[in-house]
Amino acid sequence: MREASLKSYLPFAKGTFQSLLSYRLNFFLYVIGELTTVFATYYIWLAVYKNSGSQTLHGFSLQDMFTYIFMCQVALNFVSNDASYEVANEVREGSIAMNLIRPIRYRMVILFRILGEVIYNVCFVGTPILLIVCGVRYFSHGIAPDLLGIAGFFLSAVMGFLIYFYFNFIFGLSAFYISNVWGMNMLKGAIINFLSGSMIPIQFFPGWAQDILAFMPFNSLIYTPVMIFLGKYQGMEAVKALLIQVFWVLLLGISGVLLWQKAIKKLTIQGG
Amino acid sequence: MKRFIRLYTKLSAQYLKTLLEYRTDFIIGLIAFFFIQGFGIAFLFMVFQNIPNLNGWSFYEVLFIYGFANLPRALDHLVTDNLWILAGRIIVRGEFDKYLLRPMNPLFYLFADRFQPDAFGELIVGILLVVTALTKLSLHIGLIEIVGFIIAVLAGAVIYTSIKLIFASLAFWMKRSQSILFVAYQMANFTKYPMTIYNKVINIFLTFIIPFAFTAFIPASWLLGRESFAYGVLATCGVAAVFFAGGYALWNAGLKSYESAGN
Repeated sequence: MREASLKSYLPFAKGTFQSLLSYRLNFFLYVIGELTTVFATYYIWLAVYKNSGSQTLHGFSLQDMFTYIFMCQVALNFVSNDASYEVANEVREGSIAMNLIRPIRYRMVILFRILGEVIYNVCFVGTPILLIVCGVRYFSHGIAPDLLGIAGFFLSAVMGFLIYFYFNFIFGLSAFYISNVWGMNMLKGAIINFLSGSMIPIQFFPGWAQDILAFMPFNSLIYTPVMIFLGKYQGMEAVKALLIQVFWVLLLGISGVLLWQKAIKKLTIQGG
Repeated sequence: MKRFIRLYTKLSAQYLKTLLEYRTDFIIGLIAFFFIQGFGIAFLFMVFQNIPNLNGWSFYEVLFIYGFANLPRALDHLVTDNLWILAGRIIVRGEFDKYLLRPMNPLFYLFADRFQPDAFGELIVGILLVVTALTKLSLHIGLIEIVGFIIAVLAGAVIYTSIKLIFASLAFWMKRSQSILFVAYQMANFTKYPMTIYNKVINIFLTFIIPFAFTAFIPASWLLGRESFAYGVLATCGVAAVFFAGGYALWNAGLKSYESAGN
């Protein structure tokens, strides 16, 4: 089979992007709804720093913490996608068959569809929040935007996106074995939300939990990019964090391919 | 009344049959819900490692408010989940006709047509947290407290229903209002923490405009001995009555202007 070029996958990304564009108003209302949690957290931290009597907690000043919780939302834009849901749905409905007989790689189809969603989120939600965060830091605290930090953030967030994509792809393949993925999806969301540090920085976890999390891919999704943005990971430390991300991309990517080849042999499509 | 109860059990039983097919989903969903709540509590616990109290509220007091918030939410979730579907697709697809064609109050039929066992997760977690916090706090719990607690939870559930009813009814004019309903519903997120941590604007908004404060923080404060009975329980009932009357009036106005989508 002749290998399809990257160009033949672009329409998949464009398709998702455009269909999202047509539900703009609803989309933004949902974003506002989701942000209520972040604002509640904002006020909790405000009270915590007032009550703690110290300027920094686990190395985070109040200013760092505000930046942290909002930048987590930006990083989340890179890793909030439904690859597992798409794969699971297509397996269940049998429509996966159509994608299997085409001379294209299924993995790439899903990747590009998700990419359309991620680019949309990053453009219309992530970047505005990033600009507001930088603006507030500059105008009310005199902290100039750190361009290297921003570049590092984007690089690291893209790695986070790839890790999550493969993680999700593997997860979606479980639909070949289990028929309902909805509950599992909710469970996965909850676990990732907490263990990736998007609710509270990993430093606030007890020591034993930090030791365990160091061997898991969750840190790499949200925590690493945000720490790079904050300048808490610098120089060699930032390079090391990025290399750990590369390791996870490779490990999960290779496992995904192997599991896919195994799962596809098991596939039975009902009806014609 | 008897007729309503009989009809409700019949309709719920029908719905339960369709749900039984998805038993595993239900159980995994329940486990997921426990995880979400557990992480929320872990967050509070880690936060409290750094402070003696949160604006004068101890860990167990905060836990009590957090747990209490689950109870009215659960009761409303159990019964009126169809309002989400109404705001999402029932009107657009013209499926609302069915609710007008039977000799029943359409709102009652809408509620009875679906019931949401996912709410049991909220109910169980809420009860566990409230009981745990109460045993640690050594509060005085007499007959008045027990009765007041039950009344406040029920009134809180009515407030949830009323707010959902108001925003879901907008769909009669807008065809879809699920996203607006979602934003309004999410405002409840603010009221599971002691609300003294927020500024005045947020407090006024959640007390008078979208009064979620009465579904958790205010009645819970009464049980914690920080608010009067009049404000904690009686005002909660008053707000519930006023908002339900308003919501029901809006719903009726919506029924009048409803045009079916058929051909």
